[in-house]
Amino acid sequence: MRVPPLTTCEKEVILEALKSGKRFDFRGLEEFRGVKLVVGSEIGTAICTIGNTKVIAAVSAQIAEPSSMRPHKGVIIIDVDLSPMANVSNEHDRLGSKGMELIRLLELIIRDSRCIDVESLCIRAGKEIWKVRVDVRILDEDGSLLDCACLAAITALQHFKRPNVTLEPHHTLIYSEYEKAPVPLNIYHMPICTTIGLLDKGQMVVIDPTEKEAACLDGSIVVACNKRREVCALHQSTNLVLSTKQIERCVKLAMSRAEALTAVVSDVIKQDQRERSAFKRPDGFSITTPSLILTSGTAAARQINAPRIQHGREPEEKMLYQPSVIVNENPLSVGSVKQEEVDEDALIAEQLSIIQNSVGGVAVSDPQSSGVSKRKKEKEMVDDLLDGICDSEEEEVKTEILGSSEPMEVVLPVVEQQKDEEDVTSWRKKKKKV
Amino acid sequence: MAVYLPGDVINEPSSSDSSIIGYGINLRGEKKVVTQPGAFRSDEGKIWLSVHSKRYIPQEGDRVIAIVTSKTGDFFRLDIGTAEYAMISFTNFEGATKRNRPNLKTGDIIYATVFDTTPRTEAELTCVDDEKRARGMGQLNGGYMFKVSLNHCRRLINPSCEILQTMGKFFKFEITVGMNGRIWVNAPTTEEIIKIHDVINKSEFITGEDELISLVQHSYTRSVSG
Repeated sequence: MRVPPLTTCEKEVILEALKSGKRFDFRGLEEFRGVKLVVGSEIGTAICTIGNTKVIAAVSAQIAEPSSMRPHKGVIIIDVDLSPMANVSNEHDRLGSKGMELIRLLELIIRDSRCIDVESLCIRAGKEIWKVRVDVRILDEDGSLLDCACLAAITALQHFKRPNVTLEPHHTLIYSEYEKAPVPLNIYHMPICTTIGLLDKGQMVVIDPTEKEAACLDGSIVVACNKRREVCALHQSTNLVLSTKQIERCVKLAMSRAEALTAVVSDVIKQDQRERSAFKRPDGFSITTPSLILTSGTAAARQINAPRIQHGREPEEKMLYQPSVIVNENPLSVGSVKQEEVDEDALIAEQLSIIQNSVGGVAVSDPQSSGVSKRKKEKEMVDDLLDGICDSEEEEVKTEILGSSEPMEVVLPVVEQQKDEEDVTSWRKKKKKV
Repeated sequence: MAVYLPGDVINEPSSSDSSIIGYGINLRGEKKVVTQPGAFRSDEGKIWLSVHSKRYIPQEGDRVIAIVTSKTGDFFRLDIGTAEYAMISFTNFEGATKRNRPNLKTGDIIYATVFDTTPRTEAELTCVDDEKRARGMGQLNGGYMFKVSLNHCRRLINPSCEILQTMGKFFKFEITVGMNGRIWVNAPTTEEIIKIHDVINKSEFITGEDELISLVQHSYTRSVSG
């Protein structure tokens, strides 16, 4: 079936609104929609929701024979299907131009960026390798499809664990998860996609456009990058000529987004692992079902009433008590000064004092050791601490780990981060002099 | 209140003397067979089903909002949200003759009545009534069009519905509700259009009057940009 055509009046109003910085979902031009990420009870499954866009990804692995060209490398296969449930113009098993673009880009981002160590997927060179299959299914479409699909696929890959195997002289033993713990994939980095709409021949950018907005815009640019600020893929949908400055701006936006979302993904995975190691039954996708149950109203016949909602609990609120769900709201809006940031500053100061105290304390408690070993120890210690800081400081966004009783996140703006590091290093230098 | 599923036969006592059969029910011989899943409603010789759906099925006499998709011969081809396209003749506009044709372009929207839904043919629309008068129908200029569920549309145009009246206390706007789930609104500024769009979308599941007023008030005071 076809999609209803875009009318002139819609286009005019949307463009006029965008040009004056207004959007139909009350967002700013440089504001993202909230991202919801849920991992399933099955290993290697994830659902990602951005606004109304919804994608499910599932990862599976099987043993296969490698190609003669790459006898010691595993294979990653990506399969995409656009469901007619997402958009009436979609057909099963027929990708069309949109689907082809999507699958090529996903392959480019996940396979060709070499984020997964394929060599570790080899069991017996030239004979047996793991063939990892990523199934991506589009459940609902409302713009930023690639962002959502990529995030779901990456999360599913992070969540996935392949069965453990041992090599015997003449055969390979595959263990079930009860015999030997399954092995996670070796993932070097997480490429995160960001769709940026272009308006006015690229003069204006509209971040994370919805389907209707995308139809009105001049085109869009997709930037995939990881938290190490490396660009993994760059794709432009239309043949618009962009200046270097404009592209640089888009890449910068994408990088901050990637940092934020990487933190979200690792949080979701960590939370899930924590639960699994505590032998808790994972909730899986059951928490994504809305608590809104539509029933027809019981009004008199004359009053045609809207379906009533059963207010069991607010859906958002319900999410709050569910583990392994992270609601990530507008990572770019962190710039403004809020009460949270004041708290953050306090938190940073506290953390810093703790670090200094603890390092100082250890140094004092070990006076007998010689100068060289002392310095070595200090160096190790400070390095550890620096690592610790880096780990905690990745979470630039306000992320909520839901279900945990204490606030887990350490929220630090980037600028402070550098300052902190300087503090610690300068202090370290001082120590060395002493 | 009873809920019927497609294929069910209606056996309500109130349906025996009904002369007007409405949405979701078809007459097959003597039997009244349900074609859509929904709640049964009856009123003074009328019976219909209250259906929650998003896809429109054309019914004779419905006022709908149609999008012009192309011109073919003496007809405009229109999209009314059904599986097939609908047609409207050039002469079915007020004041139109063979010479004086309406000037409609692809992407324009019109408000029209469905007058022919013969099975296995495209539905035919008209922009004039029996006296060749437009009576509010015709092209809709400017404004913004969006889609809601059919049930919400029916609720909005119900005279006892408070939503539009409450909104009218805060906003100045023009609205056209098509039975095919499309709503066209026009307001002096884009900002107001955005707010009205938001209120209409959010009011679907609101039944209480206080809740409604607070929703409209919230939207009215809220800033659109960022």
